[in-house]
Amino acid sequence: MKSVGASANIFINRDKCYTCGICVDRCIMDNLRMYLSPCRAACPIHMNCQGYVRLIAQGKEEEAAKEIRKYLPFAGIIGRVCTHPCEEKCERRKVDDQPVHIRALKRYLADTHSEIVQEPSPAAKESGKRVAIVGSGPAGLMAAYELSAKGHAVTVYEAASEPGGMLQRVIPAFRLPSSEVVYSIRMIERMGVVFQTGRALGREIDVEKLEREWNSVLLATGCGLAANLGIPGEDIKGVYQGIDLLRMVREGQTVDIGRSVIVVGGGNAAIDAALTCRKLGAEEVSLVCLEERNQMPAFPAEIEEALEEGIKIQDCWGPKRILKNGDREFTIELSRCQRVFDENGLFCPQLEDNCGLSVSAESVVVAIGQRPDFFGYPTDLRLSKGNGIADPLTLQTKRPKVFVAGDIVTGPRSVIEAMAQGQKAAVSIDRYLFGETLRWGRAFWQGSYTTDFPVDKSDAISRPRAILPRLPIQERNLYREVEKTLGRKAAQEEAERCLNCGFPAEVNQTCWYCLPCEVECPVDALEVRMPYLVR
Amino acid sequence: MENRFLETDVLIIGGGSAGCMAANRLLELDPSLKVVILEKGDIKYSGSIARGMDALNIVAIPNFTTPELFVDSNTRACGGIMDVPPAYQMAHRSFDLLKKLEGWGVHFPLDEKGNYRTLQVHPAGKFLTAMEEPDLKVIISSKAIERGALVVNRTMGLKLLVDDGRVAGAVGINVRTGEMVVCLAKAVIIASGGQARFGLPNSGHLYGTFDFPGNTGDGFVMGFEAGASLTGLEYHLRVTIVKDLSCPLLSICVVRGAKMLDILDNVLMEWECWDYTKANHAALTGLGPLRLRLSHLPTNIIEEIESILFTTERPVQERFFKNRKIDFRKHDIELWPTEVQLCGGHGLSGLVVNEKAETNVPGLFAAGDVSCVARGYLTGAFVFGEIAAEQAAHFVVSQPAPKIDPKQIAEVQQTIEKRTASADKRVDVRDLEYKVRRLINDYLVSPKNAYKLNRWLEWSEVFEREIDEDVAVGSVHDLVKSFEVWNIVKCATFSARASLERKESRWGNAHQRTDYPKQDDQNWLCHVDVRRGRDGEVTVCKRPLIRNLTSGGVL
Repeated sequence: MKSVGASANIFINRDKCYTCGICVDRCIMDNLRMYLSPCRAACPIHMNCQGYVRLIAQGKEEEAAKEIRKYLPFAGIIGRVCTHPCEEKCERRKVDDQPVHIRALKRYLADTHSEIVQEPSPAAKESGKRVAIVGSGPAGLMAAYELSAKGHAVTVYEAASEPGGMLQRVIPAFRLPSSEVVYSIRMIERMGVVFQTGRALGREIDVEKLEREWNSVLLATGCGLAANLGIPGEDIKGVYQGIDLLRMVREGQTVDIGRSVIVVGGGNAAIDAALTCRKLGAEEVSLVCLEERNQMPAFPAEIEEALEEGIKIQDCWGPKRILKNGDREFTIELSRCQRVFDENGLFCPQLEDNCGLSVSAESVVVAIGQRPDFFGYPTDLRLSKGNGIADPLTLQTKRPKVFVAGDIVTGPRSVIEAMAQGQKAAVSIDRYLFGETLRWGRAFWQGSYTTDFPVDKSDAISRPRAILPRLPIQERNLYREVEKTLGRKAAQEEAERCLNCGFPAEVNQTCWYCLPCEVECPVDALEVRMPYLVR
Repeated sequence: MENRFLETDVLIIGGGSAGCMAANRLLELDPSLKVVILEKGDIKYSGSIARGMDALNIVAIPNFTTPELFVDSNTRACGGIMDVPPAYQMAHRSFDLLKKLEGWGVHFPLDEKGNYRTLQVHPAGKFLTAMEEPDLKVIISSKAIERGALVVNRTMGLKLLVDDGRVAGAVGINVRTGEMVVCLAKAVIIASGGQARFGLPNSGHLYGTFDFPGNTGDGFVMGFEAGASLTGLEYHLRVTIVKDLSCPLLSICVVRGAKMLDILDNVLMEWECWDYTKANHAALTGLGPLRLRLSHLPTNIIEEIESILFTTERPVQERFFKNRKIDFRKHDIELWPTEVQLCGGHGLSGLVVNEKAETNVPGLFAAGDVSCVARGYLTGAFVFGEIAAEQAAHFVVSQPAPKIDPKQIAEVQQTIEKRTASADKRVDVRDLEYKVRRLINDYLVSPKNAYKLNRWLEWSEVFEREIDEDVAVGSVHDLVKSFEVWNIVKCATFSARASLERKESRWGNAHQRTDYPKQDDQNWLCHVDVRRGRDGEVTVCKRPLIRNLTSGGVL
């Protein structure tokens, strides 16, 4: 693309512009392109994070809330549990190694302007088409929302007794309160989506029947089974799978975890399990993982939280065997882990032969990952050697009417990635319902953006990142949200750390100075100065 | 990448004035119709009236002016070259059109007596009716969308599909992604505007044209390739308006008392602005730059002029004059001839249509600047958009769905592959366009002669080869520009052939031949049409004028 400085014609007031992109969309001569900020490029749904952060910095919180709402109606959920790939790419890191707390700012807007951020979409003209979705986790919820917003009649089947998938039934309530998920479910219901609980694939419902009775079907059943270690003793009664433990706790079951627990695993799920065990009353909780401390897949902030609550981490150990000695004691034999990934970067842990460590506790929790449950799936829709279950571009399966989305396609991933899958499936289903081809026009924003441009950081001053206030340890339990939201002043100061990387620019030199771009700019940030040759 | 495939009842190519009115009318008549609009830009503001128009050029107001008067007056304005039935239909429906627009919220100011404000811009009759509505395009595009038209934005029509002699739809290309769109249709309305990016403007900015530069004669070429006749391509529209900026303002200013002067201070225009002969002649014979003087006018009139010019149609004028430090109260405005364009609305160039908007290809209709409803302007676009819709709605009732011919689609794909094939290609498509349009200025524009016109024809072959083989296509944008420049070259060839055919001079500098300097009514009081020959070559022929009110059917 041409150098940004070359245009003497289109002038953008960067202090006002919040990269909504309306100018790029409305230009009748296709003259403009968006220089997309790295945070936005990294987001699986490419939401305008630079935009709402800048609006907070400008003190325009309602506009910021509306800007988020354009992209998704689940900011309350995402603001709490997103894996924030945006922050990983934030240019601020290159200034003071602390990215803008984009997730916290999203949560701030969701908490202070929930009526805007989680407003239902306006009623669309009914299409007369009906879609069945199986699974009400983030992928299913997003697809339900998108399809309903387009005017289709949607019913979501959920195996459990309440909708929400992992959001409601596994992720600890002290991370994501049930009320947030319920709020979102109610919002989607107000849009006309029907939830039917207690309907499991292979039991109460089957794919063939859904295919017969609905215009299209989306299967979004996730990765609800635990991945196994594959070591002797793993299936001894009393050895918990992390996902099952978290599920039991969310269901309100009484769990006698004992005085001491060993958790196997190094990711966020293992940390969540460990923290849950502390809150269940275990006094000694240890976590053993293959990775070195600073290579653990869990977020640093979550590891800090674990340490803060007295959880001990023993890194570079791999379990070889689980033994039960007597009524309430398990022993795990571990070997030193020399290496986690092979030369090709694939997960292939290398353990020493001899057992270097034995640890004992009253309970063991294995939290090393998840896998999909294909119970109830016809054979042709199951994973087979080397074949994914769907076209990765369209998410259509071998059965043209049937689509899939979320962890069932990708393997266990984040909530936001599952939502991106749900959006993608909804686009495909909408087209399918109208007899259109599926593979065209899938590029984000029809490619009218670039990520290849320098960001000027010369004026940036190092400023510490906002820290989200948290409940004191002694007040924490299974149900109270540990993390609290930022205050207004802290939110604005944090938003001011944003370097405002992206902006729209004249790229094609086709300006006719007709001015709709100026007229449409909601903040008068764009000025057409007229091409130099004409002035 | 995959083609987008659509099937519809009526396909409209071009979402401007005519296209949006056509879509709205189709769905008014039959909400169950499937209507697709292919739009090269973004439909909300696209086309020639992005910020509205300051007037509806032709309205025959009951008890004031008549369609008959318009027919007489416009025949004179067209130098006699005008078919009566379409002109009559347009004027006949023009007042109902005004009322319809008014009902949609379009503002037509009234004078103290409560009458519409009218001006004379024709040899006889005050047909120009003031309209102050910068949001005109937004209003009509919203209507089309609300009624349920499927808008396919950022898509340029490339080729009409034909099934056994009748039109079957079209192929287009997404101007951002390069993906192709194939739309099967029982009827097609071409509403893609004129050829505005024709001659090179004096500013040198490729997009600094008087009329909307997105209009690159796409419909002329698509219609030609499908077998439709074109007419009046020897008529070059060229007006004298604001120098360098090329924005119109004469009819706003002159009728309020502004004076047009040459460099010897002769007054060329005052109070009336229907006759440009003196102005165009002076501009081209060294008596320019012409100037428009407002400084003698009372302040309230100047303010009234400013309030119209700076809000409607080309509001950029305000910053242009400010930048040049021109205050109407103190300084004159320099005027200069614009580049030439081919346009059915402003001029006489376009697809041949009858009073039913039918071309000679079954199922193919045309409306707006792409068609010749001579000097129909915006009224013509709106009225004929509706007429085309009415006729198309009627036409599709009995039509079976057309059959798709993969060969025709493959031809377009092959052209794309040829142009995007990596090879040592060095020519920048912008440079190519500049050169094409400079040579249009050199060889096509009046004063014309056979030598120059034939030189263009030689150059056109060079350019066609260069577009296919030498232009570096590094992006989808470049590829789309290559299609646009191809259309410019093709239209120039149509124009050269038509100009060579008409061995006379007519319409002042719109077609002036030094080798045939006189007007020759005996031999040339007729149309000159261009049509595709059997092997794709350009053929020209005469066609008699239709001077009677009732038309004899399809041409």
